[in-house]
Amino acid sequence: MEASSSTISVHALGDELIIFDPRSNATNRLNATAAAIWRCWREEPDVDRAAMRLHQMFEVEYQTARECVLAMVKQFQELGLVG
Amino acid sequence: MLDSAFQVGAISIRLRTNSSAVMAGYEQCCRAFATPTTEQVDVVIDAIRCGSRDGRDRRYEISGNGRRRTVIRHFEHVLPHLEWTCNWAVALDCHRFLQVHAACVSRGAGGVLLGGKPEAGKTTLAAALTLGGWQYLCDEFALIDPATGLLQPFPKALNVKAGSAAVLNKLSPHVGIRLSRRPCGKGRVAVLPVDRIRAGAVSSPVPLRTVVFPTYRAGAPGMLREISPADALMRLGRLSFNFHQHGGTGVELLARLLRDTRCFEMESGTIRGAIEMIERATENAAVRRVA
Repeated sequence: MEASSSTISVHALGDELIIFDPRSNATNRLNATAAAIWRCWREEPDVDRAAMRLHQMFEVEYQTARECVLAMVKQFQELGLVG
Repeated sequence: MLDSAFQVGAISIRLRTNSSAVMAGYEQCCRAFATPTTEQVDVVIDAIRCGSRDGRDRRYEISGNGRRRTVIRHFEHVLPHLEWTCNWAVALDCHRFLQVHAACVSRGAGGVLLGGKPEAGKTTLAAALTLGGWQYLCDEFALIDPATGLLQPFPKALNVKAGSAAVLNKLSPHVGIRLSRRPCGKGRVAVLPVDRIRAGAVSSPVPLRTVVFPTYRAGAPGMLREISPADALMRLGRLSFNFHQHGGTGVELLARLLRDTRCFEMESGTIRGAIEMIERATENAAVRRVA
């Protein structure tokens, strides 16, 4: 199990993540891209830094990576996975 | 009142009935599992014959763990309903295992979980693989012990529907499945004890090595595709009867097991094609472990 916050538990399976939230009893699957953003965000919640990491890892345009990070962080927030 | 106990793999069952014919039929299905006593009973099935002595109003009231489940008019439908009642009771009450709606077989020291919704072909596949020399754990449940991570056997009789019976009788005429004359809720059915498929076919507890999500479509050319363990975990969660009861420990258990497991989705149009693909999937899984 990866490092988790006081509530959710995070499990790495290959390059994907499974995140269980006991408050909602919900299990979420993050694909490789979402998992990379999640890990980056947990280290430091910075859109530009996460976008740069994504740009380097997946060889996508920086602007595309940035839009992807913003959309994904919004989803994490809606799911209550990040503050 | 007749009262007998059976230890069917990991599940202990007690049948109470006032009908000697019902008890005889059930004992025939479970004769290998009869036990004088069980310390802990998972399922208590009551099958009470009611009605007038002349038989005009004859009926059988069947309940599992105290829940009235069904009333049966025809004796030939009693055994299938005893099995279904038992399945319901296990699904509702037996939470010491993480349960997944799946058939399970094993070969060597590795277990194969065949997960699917009703009509996916789980029973047909489990019976066909058992005919082909695999060991049988169950045709309806994957029972995963959280303490050991092992798949536990629940080698109950298989409830065979008409389509499945035709396939299995063709595959091996010696099995000789005879369907009920009248249809019940699931059409014409038969109860098939595993020792009628092959003697000595019951598996011991095994680690999970391969997960397959089969579907059957008449005429399909055959497709076997590897899926990610995370995809498999989400599918197993949806097929589980008690994933929510286990909460975070259930997720952690599946994640731990799936790290050493290869996972596939499969579509088949023939039973022989399905068996070949499962053989291939398990060989691939073994190659990866050796590597």
